[in-house]
Amino acid sequence: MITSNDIWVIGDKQIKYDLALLSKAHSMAEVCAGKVFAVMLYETDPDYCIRAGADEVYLLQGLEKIADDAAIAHALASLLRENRPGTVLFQATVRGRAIAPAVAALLSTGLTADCIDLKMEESGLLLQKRPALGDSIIAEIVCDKLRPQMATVRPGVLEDPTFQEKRTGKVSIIPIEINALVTKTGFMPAQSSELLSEAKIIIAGGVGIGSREGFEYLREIALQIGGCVGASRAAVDAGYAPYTWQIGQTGIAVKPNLYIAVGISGAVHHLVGMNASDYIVAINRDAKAPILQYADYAIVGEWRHILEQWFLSYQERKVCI
Amino acid sequence: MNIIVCIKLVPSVMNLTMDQEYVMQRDRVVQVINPADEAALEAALRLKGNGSVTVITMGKPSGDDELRSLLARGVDRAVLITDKAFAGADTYATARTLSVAVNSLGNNLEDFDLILCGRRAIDGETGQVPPELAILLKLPFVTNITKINFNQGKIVCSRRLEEGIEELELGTPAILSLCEYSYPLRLATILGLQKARRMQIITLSREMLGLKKEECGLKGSPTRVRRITGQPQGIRNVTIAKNIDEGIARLSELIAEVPL
Repeated sequence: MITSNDIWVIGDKQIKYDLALLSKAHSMAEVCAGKVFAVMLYETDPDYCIRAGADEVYLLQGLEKIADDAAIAHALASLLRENRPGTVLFQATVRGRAIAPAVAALLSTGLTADCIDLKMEESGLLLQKRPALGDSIIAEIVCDKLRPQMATVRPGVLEDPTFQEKRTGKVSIIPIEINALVTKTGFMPAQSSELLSEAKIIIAGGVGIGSREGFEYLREIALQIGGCVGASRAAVDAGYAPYTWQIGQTGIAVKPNLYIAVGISGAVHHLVGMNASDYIVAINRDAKAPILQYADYAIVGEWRHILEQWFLSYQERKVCI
Repeated sequence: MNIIVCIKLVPSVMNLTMDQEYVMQRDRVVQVINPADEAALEAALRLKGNGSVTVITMGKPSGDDELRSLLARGVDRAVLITDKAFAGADTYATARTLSVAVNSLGNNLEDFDLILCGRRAIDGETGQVPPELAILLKLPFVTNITKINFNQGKIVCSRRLEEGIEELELGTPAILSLCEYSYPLRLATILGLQKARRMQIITLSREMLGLKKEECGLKGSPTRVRRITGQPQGIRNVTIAKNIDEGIARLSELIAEVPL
């Protein structure tokens, strides 16, 4: 069997992002005359997958409790060897970014990490865009000699899925037997990161906040206005804020109605995680900080002074009401 | 316990340049140990007991000083894999070279109980090498670890996922990748520094590893950078507040406009 121009989307837990990836795959498959296969690692309604763009759905059974990424990769690799699609896409979640490279190594092929955009050429060659060098550049990567070409795609960077009500497709249930060498013995759910992805207002701080105490202040304000607090990688690296608050390429991608960037310079890896926000306000003492270019509105000055003044006026107004 | 730690030296500043083939020009910048790899190293030093810690790095020939500073912290053996043919390697080519190097160090894998890595490097940020290396060495792996312990011959570890912390258990040998700052790296001691000065750094070239040219570096990489563009899209038409009072008033309006 020769390699086709089919696109496989490996769905992993977050249905919202999986469906967005399926819609993206559908529009790319039209360009290269391929089919879209949804390969779901968890139990889900296959109709959604089909309406979002899948031509066929494989529901893999028996993987929900499996924590052995290598074993899951072996199962996927044998399916891929049988079917030989041209392209395989994963979510760039922690798990996706563990399973995908294992699959790529099993198939001796290339994999591009954490793509923020994909484009299909007529020939079936996938252009994969990702930010690189932490700053300032976007690399366009191709895997031109080997198939499948593989990429992990950052959750939240794609457009919302488009559903076509009348689409039909084939559904197959595939039981998978796994001999897991890694076993899960416990799980502690995270606290604020989920909220961050759903928040309508986010106040995010950067290195400019200068201390843990400063971040506590941001958090307090965020809670008062019904929002959520976030942080840049530099602030997390400096120990001012926990990793669960991190927004950006290596943290969480967000899309709030209002994003207030406080003391954040605007490194590219931060921007890719927040520039889908509806409205962006930058508060920075440096009028030349890159973040200003990416904001709709900017206030130049000392953040603490600005927020304290604003908060006073906010509380006064609340009392009046 | 015998442990191998794979580390990467990364540019300390982000003022890197690239040539026409988009290969990073690493000659002119100061190199430091990748933060997540420091955590892997410290975890290894704490776990080794009566065993040994071997550090492996692939990079330019001048990595000597950085490796010596690790010997001064208690690392028993440092291996530098260096060859012009390795330049431009993507994650798969890197993992292949590392896997051959790991195999060349011991008679067989049973000689090592663990291979520790950082979960990602701050320059490439892919995090793909540890799982790829694990597959090539036919070992189980866990990524994104914040804590490792040993309990009755089993590895017990915590793994950070988006939705929470997973507790996992597995046997040895295995490959684990650690999150930055999970284990802050110890300082070198004076005694360590003195000892390190007398120690040998093992250097391995492509030929010594028995790798063909087309298996390494740019030639052995399935992925290729086709184009580099500047800043990502998303530049907006910013309005800058005339003064702080105006800014504060606007901020209040904006917050009031968000439907909660």
